[in-house]
Amino acid sequence: MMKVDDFLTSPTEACAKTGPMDTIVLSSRVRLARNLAGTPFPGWAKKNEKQKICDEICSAAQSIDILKDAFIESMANLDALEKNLLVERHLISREHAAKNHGSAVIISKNQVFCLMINEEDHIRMQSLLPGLQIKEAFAQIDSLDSALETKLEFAFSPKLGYLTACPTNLGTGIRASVMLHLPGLVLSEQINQIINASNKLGLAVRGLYGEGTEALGNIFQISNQKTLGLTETEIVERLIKVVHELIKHEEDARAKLIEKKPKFLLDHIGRAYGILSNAHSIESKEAMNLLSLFHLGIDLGLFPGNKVSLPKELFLITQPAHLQKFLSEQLSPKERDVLRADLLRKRLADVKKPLSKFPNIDTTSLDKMQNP
Amino acid sequence: MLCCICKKNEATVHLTQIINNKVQKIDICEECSKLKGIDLPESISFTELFMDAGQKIDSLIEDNQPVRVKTSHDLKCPGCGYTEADFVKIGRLGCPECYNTFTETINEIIKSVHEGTQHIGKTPVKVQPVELIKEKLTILQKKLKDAVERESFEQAALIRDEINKLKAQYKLDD
Repeated sequence: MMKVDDFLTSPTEACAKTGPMDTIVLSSRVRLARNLAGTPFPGWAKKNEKQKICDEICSAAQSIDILKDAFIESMANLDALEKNLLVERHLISREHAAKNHGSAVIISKNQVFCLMINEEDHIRMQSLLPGLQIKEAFAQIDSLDSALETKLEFAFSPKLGYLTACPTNLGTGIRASVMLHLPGLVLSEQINQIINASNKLGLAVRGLYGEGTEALGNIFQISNQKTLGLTETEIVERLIKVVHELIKHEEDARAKLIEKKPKFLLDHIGRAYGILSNAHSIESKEAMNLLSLFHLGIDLGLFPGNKVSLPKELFLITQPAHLQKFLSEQLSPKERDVLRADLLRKRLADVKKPLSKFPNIDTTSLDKMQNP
Repeated sequence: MLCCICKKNEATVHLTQIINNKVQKIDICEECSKLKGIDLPESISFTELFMDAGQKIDSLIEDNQPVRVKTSHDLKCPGCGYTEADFVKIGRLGCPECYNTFTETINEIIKSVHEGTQHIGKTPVKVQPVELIKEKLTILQKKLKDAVERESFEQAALIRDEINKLKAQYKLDD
């Protein structure tokens, strides 16, 4: 039946997890790309070759301590709904959700690790942690990689490093990224400058579900572009440095809006609360964008007594697959929109309307955020 | 050779497309290649790029004769049968052996996308002859020297730590 759903932690629990600076840095992820030596990459391998590779990797993974009691399943045995749940949790890519026979997914019991088998490369393994924990995420995935290395032979060249299906992932095969919530920069129309500056520094800026997607919910994914000619540590350090700058820019943008355009901010947040708690039909995009403003409102102290785990959880459970999973009959988009609105009204019923003025922002807490 | 899109910068990215036995070649600079999205990971769409610069290509091909291209386009990977045309069309390679087969084209891509052409990151434990480690150490030591000269002491400290870690791992004294 719904094997994946039984395995995954509940949305409430998942969204209650905290990490450093987690109102702006929603999560940190480090992904490594690896391929087995002497066999074609997944895109070119024949069907039986792919299955053989998949079996070999899954068998090796199962024998590792870190992956004891992990969830291991062929993509062919997961239905569309289960696959989309995994995409919405940022555990697999949309590309992987389209795979079937010959591809698999492995999720560790603590849900920090997820391995995609036969996506673009034979192995795409990632560690995902809440808040700003890139170094920690790297240390963990590095351990997993070293453990797998004792059981498998990876395609590697002394000159080009780990060999990958696409030359853009050569060398370290590492993609370190963070999900940033930047409503302040979007509202003060500075986001394009930030994106350009990040690009110049060798970082890619993408939307919520990875490459090519629009920025929904004011969420941006920042990651390294280069993977060859640098050490893993250099790549991680460069990203951390830029993330700290981006956090500062976001905080400054918020402070400036409060100072120069308080009514503009209160209006956006007020309307967001108004619609979220009273609509009877709402599309996913609109819900995400309004929840972002609700999240901002909580950050700025306009909803005393409410935690950011609420908008985070609402953001997740109003995604299409998470909504659909409660029901056996397939919902049409319009029915989903109604269910989404019903769910939001219910969960926001106890949330009082926002304050009409910003409480005095305690600058010592801003300092504490910057200098933990 | 100047970029055929902006005609200002030096062309460092060379693309070859083969359709119906007609070869089209375009040379663009790093900036234009970024603008056209060529260095977005996993989404090299040469076709899109060519469609954008369509008019420019026609003017490059005189009298509709196929342009003389680097001979590597005739190569086929002995490991998996992949051809350069496959690579250009799909944007990904067929197998690890392809890296030895299509070196020229791949090196062009590496130069425009990555920081350097020599891997200095993690190496699988099984594949670590001492010469390789020594080579890595030489590169790291040069990087350390550069960092110190530039007075990037924080960076220098990080590199120094990596050097020490590597030396300890392989018990090299140097």
